[in-house]
Amino acid sequence: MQSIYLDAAIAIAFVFLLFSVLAYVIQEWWASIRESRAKMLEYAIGQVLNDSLNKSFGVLLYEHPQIDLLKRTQNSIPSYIPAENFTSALVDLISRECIVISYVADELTGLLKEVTNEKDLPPDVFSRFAAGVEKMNHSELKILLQSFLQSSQNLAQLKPCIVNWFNEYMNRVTGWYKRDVKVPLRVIAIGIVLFFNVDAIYLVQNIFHNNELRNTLVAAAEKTVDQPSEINSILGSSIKTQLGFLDSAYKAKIKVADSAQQILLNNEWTKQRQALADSMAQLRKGQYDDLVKQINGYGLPIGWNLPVSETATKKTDTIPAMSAAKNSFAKMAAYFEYYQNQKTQPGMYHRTIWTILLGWFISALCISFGAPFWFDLLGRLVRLRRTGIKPKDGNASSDTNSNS
Amino acid sequence: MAVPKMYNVHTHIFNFKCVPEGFLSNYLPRAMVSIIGPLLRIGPIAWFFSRIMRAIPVDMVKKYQAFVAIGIRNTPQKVFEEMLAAYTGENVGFVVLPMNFDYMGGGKAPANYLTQLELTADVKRKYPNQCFPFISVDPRMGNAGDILNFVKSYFEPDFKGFHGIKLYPSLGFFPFDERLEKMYAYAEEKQIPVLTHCTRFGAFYAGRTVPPELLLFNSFNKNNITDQRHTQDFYKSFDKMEPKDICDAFLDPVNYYDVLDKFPNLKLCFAHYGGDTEIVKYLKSSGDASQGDISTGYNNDTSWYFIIKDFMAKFKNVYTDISYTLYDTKPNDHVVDAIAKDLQEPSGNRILFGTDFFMTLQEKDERPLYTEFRAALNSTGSNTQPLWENLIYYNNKQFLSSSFYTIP
Repeated sequence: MQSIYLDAAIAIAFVFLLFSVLAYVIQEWWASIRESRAKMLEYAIGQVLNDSLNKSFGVLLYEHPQIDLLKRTQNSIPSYIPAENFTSALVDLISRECIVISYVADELTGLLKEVTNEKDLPPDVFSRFAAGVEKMNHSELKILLQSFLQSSQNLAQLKPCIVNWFNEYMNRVTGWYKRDVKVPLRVIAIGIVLFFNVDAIYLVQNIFHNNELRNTLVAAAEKTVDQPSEINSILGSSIKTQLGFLDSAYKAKIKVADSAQQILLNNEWTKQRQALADSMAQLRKGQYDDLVKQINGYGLPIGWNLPVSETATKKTDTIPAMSAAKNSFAKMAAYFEYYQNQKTQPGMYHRTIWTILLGWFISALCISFGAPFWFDLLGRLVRLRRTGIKPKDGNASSDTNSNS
Repeated sequence: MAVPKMYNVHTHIFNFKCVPEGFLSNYLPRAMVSIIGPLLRIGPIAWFFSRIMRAIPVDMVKKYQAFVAIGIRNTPQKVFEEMLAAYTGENVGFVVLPMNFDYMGGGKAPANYLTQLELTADVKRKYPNQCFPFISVDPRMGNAGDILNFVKSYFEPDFKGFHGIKLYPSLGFFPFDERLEKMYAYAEEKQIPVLTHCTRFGAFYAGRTVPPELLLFNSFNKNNITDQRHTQDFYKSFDKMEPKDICDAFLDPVNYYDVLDKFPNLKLCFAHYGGDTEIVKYLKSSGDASQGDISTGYNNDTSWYFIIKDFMAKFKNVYTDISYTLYDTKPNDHVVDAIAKDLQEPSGNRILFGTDFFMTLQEKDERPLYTEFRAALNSTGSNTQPLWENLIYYNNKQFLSSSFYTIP
């Protein structure tokens, strides 16, 4: 089935696929470098342990060697805290609440010497933990810790109790993390629209009226549908998926290791996670450059150096006031002013500030639908265009969807 | 471990985890704080900011770089060790002054005040004879009994390694607050040193406005000197002032008359000697800055430096420290000359050495800060060695010793 409308739809879907992939790459690159999971984890632990009526145990927990040694550098925080490390650190911190540190002066030198009450305390960690909880001011954290004590008689029962609670809590935190990453996608979409000046209305108009551009885009769209591996290679390598594989592998190893090996494995695990994040950040940077090159190669009617008329296609043939503008804001103002005062040209709609803003809004909305949506839609449209022709790879869209 | 022969009585080692975002609003526009504040809590971003700021050759930017620099050190211990490194080859004891930011109206810090004390106690454990922490007290922590018990718990029945009490009134309280009375009585009885911030610069109440209830003069020892002071123009125009300026009222050294009149043997140190600007004001003014007397009161423009000197002359346990102020070694300001002269007066044995690390990173690095002051002090006379030794050791030893611990 051949139709100018269908071709235009394919071309538009392809353009938004490109921008959606670009948004995805930027989002993944950002996730790799900003340690968003690490910050989310710190926030989540702080929510429970930073108790305003007692000490901020969340902050102290991150200073504890069990957690501190998981950091790759002094300035980083761990993206993942194994439940066993969390439990050991928490039990130790709370147990220390009943230890009193005091100082006495040496009779000869006058120098201070540390004295502790440890010999007066019960020798077992469980009793010290219970005494530490008892010493705390009444708060939600104290109630939580008391609930651990109520369901255990000794340290061997207490630790699994905290481990289970921590694992369940982390599952919830993973849910927060998933919700949290959706907000940046919209922000990134807006950023792309402004940076590339992607006006959906202007774009559609141009694709309808410019046969050469439309045909180029349709051909590229067909190629993309026929060779889904390129897109899948980008979308299929989500940092979360990769880290998920790594986490599963290490969790399995730690389960069967002895305690000494567990510490080594935990440290190795954290290092591997960071190395993976670093390499993913590099990969995303390369993908970003390639995509921008690809987008620029199609000669799309985007960017801030748009030709002044339908017939003028050279980028140099731009709005004169924009060339003279001193900064980005002045450039943008000149751009709006030009289109506001421009007379309607045959076949082209009259661009005003409001239509440009509406075009931007539609673009941002479309980009935020995400690459899997546009890839799926593109596949359907191309198959419709080739009614009777069987697609070469029927698994493409389902593969891509699995990454959403 | 040798006995320290030099004491720095005024340092800070808290980091960004211990301060609420409102603290930054003391130094940066609020709109900027809401953007930059959360970012500075992310280590690599704080590091990046710090590097960029260091590269910008603008004094104003360099001033703020110090605050960013502390953000990139993830524990008070790291901050302490950085300070220690500036004194390589010298055996120094540092008075570490925590600050209670919980009531400054700037929101919640990730690490509350109790946690800051815990982190400081950890540093004390590692450096028991180099770290001499104080506890910070704010009357909003509870009633008079609660505050007394809080302070006592650090000294009795066991000495917990905290050597004195820090007050920072500009965070929102008057030093004559009724809730502090029992604490002063205890500190006087046990000769526990009390050190109070006393310069117009530094942190202040971080709310958009200072709540009126914080500005009530509920003194435990009302008397004519302070009553008269509170009728002066400055105290009557709070409604026209910004919080930063209103907070000068909390710091006004005259307010301590109520305290010292009742507890004349209290060991009280006015930090910063009132600030270098107050010293310069005193030295360069034609007379207004040195008007008044403890028995008749002072005028609006009397220099805080003059008031502190007056208090030192009248009360035998009133001290001052030269922290932060010592950065001003500019010959034309004559600040070092004034300090050198005061060190030779009878009350000179109550002038203490301190630097105000890390706040002073805004001006100079720690090592040049004290070596340049030492050199400037040298140039004021022929035999300054005894003055220097008094300043860095003997005076400080006298101030820091209490019923619980005598500095060797």
